Amino acid sequence: MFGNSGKLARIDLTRKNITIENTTPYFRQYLGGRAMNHMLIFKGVDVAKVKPFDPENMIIFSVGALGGTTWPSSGRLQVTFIAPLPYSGWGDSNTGGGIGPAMKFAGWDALVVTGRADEPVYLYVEDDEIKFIPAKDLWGKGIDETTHILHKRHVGAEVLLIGPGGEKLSRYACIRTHRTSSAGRTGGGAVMGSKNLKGIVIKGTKGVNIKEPKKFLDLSLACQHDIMDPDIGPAHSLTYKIMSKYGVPGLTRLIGQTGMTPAKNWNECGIWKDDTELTEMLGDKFWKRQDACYTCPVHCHGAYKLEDPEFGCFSGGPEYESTCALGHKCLEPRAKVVMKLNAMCNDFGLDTVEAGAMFSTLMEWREKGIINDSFTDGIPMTWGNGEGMIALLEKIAKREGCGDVLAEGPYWVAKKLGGDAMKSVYHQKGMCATGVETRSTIGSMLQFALSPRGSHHLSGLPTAEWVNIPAVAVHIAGYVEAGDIRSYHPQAKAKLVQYYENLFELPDSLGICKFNFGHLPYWHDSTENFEKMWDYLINAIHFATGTLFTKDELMEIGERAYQIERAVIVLRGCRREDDMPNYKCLHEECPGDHPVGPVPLPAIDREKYEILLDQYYEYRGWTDKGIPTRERLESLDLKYVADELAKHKIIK
Amino acid sequence: MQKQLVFDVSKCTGCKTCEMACSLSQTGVCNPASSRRRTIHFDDDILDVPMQCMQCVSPACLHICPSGAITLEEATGAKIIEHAKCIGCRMCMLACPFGAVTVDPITKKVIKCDLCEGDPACAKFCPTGAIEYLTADVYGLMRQREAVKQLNIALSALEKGGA
Repeated sequence: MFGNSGKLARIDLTRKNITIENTTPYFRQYLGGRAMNHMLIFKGVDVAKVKPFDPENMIIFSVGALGGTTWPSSGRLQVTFIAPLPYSGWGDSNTGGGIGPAMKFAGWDALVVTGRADEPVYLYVEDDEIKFIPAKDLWGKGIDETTHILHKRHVGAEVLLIGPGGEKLSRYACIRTHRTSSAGRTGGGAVMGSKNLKGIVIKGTKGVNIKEPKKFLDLSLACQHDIMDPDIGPAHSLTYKIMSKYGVPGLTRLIGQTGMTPAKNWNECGIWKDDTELTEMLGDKFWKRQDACYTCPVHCHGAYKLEDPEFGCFSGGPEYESTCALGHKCLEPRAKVVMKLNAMCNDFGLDTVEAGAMFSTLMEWREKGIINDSFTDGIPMTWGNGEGMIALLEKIAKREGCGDVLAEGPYWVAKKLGGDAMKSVYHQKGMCATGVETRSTIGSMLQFALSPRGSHHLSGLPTAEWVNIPAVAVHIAGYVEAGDIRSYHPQAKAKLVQYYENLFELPDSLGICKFNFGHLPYWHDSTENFEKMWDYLINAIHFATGTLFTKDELMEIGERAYQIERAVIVLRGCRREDDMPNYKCLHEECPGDHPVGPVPLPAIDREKYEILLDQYYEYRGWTDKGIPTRERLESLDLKYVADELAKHKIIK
Repeated sequence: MQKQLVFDVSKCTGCKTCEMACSLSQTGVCNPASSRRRTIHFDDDILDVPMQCMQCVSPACLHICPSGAITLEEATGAKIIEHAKCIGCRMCMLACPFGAVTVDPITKKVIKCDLCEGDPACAKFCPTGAIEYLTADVYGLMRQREAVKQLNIALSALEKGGA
């Protein structure tokens, strides 16, 4: 097969059994990667009932047709599972680095893991061979040390690992690979931990076949040059300039223009004047160099080695999400502290976003008198107490003392606390938001609230809205209101969100980075540039695989993939009420400092939001309760999904 | 003057686009194991170093080859393996001081950089300019220019600080 490898391995950890399956039949309807994972998990698991830590749960690692090629930023790996962090149970995370390409080079499109090993193991994949290797000697070790050992043991291999966070089943344990990359969100690390799976090590020498090498090479180079073009458009070119020098933290104040950057546990927003160390200074002073994922011209990560008696550390990042979560949201302005916390999270294998939200939520609870210092073992969680956060993080990773409870994450801790505690948790479906104040932009509010895996931007934040360049928004949605960040226009905003949700399925299903193809302001200066991005994607798939898709066909694949996500969370009990904004968004205004949009940001208008939601459901072909209809599912060749919903008497 | 591949370690981000471009243009397959050049990663030092054939003027591979399979391409200065003459002894691989001769896992033949007939894909695709294809005099001038800049910075600092 061209592009994709054409086969996947089903790996049963309980029986130490491996079966091989042809993936060719899945390509036309699912491409590979994320969309294929959705079908595999839906058909392979009782998604309505399976618990995240059951051996029956499935965790799928997959790449996609453009993964591991010359295509710019073709280093992504998609991970899909039933998740412990969001109560919706949808587990979906994506990582860069080099592990995805390595999987392709070894000749695999996906590794589908089920069961539970009786003792810790890791998988060693070298081309066709997959081995179960005892990992008792590695269990309990941090990710840095384990990486070191495995790189020595398997020269030239890529590794993907969990740390103590995953081993001890923290709901927000992440999966790490490379110095700078994680499949960070929804708790995939804990699912691996529950399976006694320490990691996956891959060495591949078979390569990725390309249908038309010469054309694909030329197109790759043209696309790379366009991504880096200083004159292609002001937003596009500025994004590259900032990202390639300062990484995502460099965008903080641009994101804050509309009030979108949160601070103080989402009680403030916009430009935080104390954040200089967390933005430009990382790139200027602290990063030893820029680090790139596979074939990425943007190299948006930094790598650092901090010599400091108190905060000395060695790691990659911190990304905007980490600086915002551990810095802005906790009012901790010191880069050294945030870098230390980031390095600790990376070594323990914990998600920096949810860890930061845990700390900032504790700070708000303490301020409101919902908890006192005894709840945090005597550590006073006051705003900006970085030293306190470092002490708590150690406890969380080891589940010592209060860390045992805090390893569950803000939503689950609030449920235990009861009373008003949940009002402080800025979550959707049980997972706290990434670095976005959703009251700032109405489309982002809708998208965050709908997101099956919980509150985050990567399932379809409408770029054309948040970058506040109306032309492309109007082009996509067909309404001038689509370009107005404050508008609740039902058709405009529903169309915009649906469009980006479907679009964002594609990079994840192709093994490429959505930063460069949809999520960031790249290609968003004009409709011509935006269509150019589409031409690149369509031709890249064509030259790599030999199959020419139309734009509509690709968007239908995105729609199909999104409907499966929805069906899973509906089967697990989510309905309309779970698509409503969280308490803060609905009931509190948000003060802040930003040049665009109202200050303070008003609370979300419930009535207008409900109308917007109705319109969105209509576009998706869902009932007013948010349930996919048989007609819509069957029109997308998803009869098996409709039948499963019918089996549970949710639809007929 | 003939051009040569030069690299600047400080500009390498470890993205490995060079390996992909090399293998795809040489073999039609994206495969780092078939790449004629590799980027060597050093975990502890936050460092990646692009490594390739240096097209030595006195090439150990060419001298040691018992079957005369490695020859000089006059136009580019590249040392080329003629597979029809190669007996597969891999002495070239052992002799090369840079490890720049390797074995393609698919074809099982020894492979090395041939400078892509004077238009090397690695330099063309390197997004940061860490790999460039230049004549020695241009390279020398570039480095001297950089050195002068550093000197300037040092001199102005001296003036300001009064040393």
